[in-house]
Amino acid sequence: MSLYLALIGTRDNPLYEMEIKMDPIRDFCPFIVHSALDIIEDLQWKTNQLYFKNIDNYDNYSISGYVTPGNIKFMILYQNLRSDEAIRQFFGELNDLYVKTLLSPFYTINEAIRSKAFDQKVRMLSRKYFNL
Amino acid sequence: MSKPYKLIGEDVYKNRTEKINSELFTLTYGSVVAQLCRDYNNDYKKVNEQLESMGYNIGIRLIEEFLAKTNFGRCINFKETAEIISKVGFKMFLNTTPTVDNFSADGKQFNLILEDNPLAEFVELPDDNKAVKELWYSNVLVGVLKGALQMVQLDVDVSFVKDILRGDPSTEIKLRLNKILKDEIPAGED
Amino acid sequence: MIYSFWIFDRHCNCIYNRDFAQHKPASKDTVNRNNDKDEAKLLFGAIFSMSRLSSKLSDGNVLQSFRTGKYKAHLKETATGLRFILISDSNVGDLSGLLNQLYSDLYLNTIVKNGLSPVDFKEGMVIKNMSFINGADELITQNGDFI
Repeated sequence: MSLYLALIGTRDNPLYEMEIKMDPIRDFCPFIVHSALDIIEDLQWKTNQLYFKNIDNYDNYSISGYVTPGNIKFMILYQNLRSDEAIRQFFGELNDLYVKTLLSPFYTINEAIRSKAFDQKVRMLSRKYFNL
Repeated sequence: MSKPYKLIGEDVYKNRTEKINSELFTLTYGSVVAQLCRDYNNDYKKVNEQLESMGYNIGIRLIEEFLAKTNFGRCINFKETAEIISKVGFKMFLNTTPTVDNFSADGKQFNLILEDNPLAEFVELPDDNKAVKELWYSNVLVGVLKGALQMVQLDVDVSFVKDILRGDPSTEIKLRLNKILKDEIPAGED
Repeated sequence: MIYSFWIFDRHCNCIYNRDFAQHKPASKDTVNRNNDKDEAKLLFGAIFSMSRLSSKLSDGNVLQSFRTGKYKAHLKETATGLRFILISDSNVGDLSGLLNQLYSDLYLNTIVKNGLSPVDFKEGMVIKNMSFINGADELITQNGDFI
């Protein structure tokens, strides 16, 4: 079970990355996620759902995504994760964390999220939903 | 006879104050602080001064509203002042009741410990090592207290000593009474 | 019959004065005419001395009004040193309700909460705010004791 999470801003810039046990392909993760971005950007205008599951594949890794109302994309590259439902709920709580970050007056949109508290909470979430 | 300041505070808050959405309030204050930081190029000492001066202008007006709604007269001693500030003043305007602590033996100094600070919800100070050491985010409170107390003839030095946003265990403001100002008398009297 | 309305600030200056002439609708030129005159200083001196006297006579004793043969003065002093005074004829009852209204409803809302109006008046400055002047006129002329 391994996982790579990336939060991408409106200019396709990465805001936050987290990687767990992705050793063989760790260096490729950003590129894989980037190419999946195009797919999401096409799909997002055709539907009003926020969660996009399994939009792309790389070897036996899957990619799922979530688009926030502010057009920020949460992309997750994973292998053998438990269930789609868990991913959906994970994205829901991640959105809550992201909104809280937005509420701080010192954070500007599309800025990298460097807060250690945010990092800790995201790791806690991944432990909660994916046992990682 | 000790007056039930806590009850007075709650009553005034519930029945005689207009309320606004707290997120709107927090976000408004946050954007003021963030804009000040940008305007002064992150010179946090100047930002602190500006916040205090804004607070002072608020305080000299807020005291009239406070007195009109509560009908209080002047306090007998500084201890009473402390109780009224924490149980009625803060409750009325920020819906929070700080604890009065460390009241000095000479009766001229005390600390207010704020358990929750509505001004600073969801705030994280910027990552440059300066802000955490120099910026007092809620410094407007210092000015408000100073201005309000000055209008009732109390010359008080107010300052922050600890702030949760800086990583301290609590948020604390220190108030020290310098002197009681004499009421002005018209020229020629006495 | 209410004759006039005065406000003195914590620096002992008269920052507002309004005369209500008898049998005539009050005209706007009687606003702030007497601020520097002796009348204002004498009135302030009398009130100031009497308030001090009453508080010396007994703790927490606040002077509310005093009456002479021809007129009665009603006072309200706030903890911030503002003094609101209404002068009426001798028969008028208790005007403390009107004074409280003038402070809490009018002064508070038109002067204190108005960010562009000064709260700390320098020497010679007076209240010129039309909302306040009109509001005060309305409150006073509509009071039962006015005429």
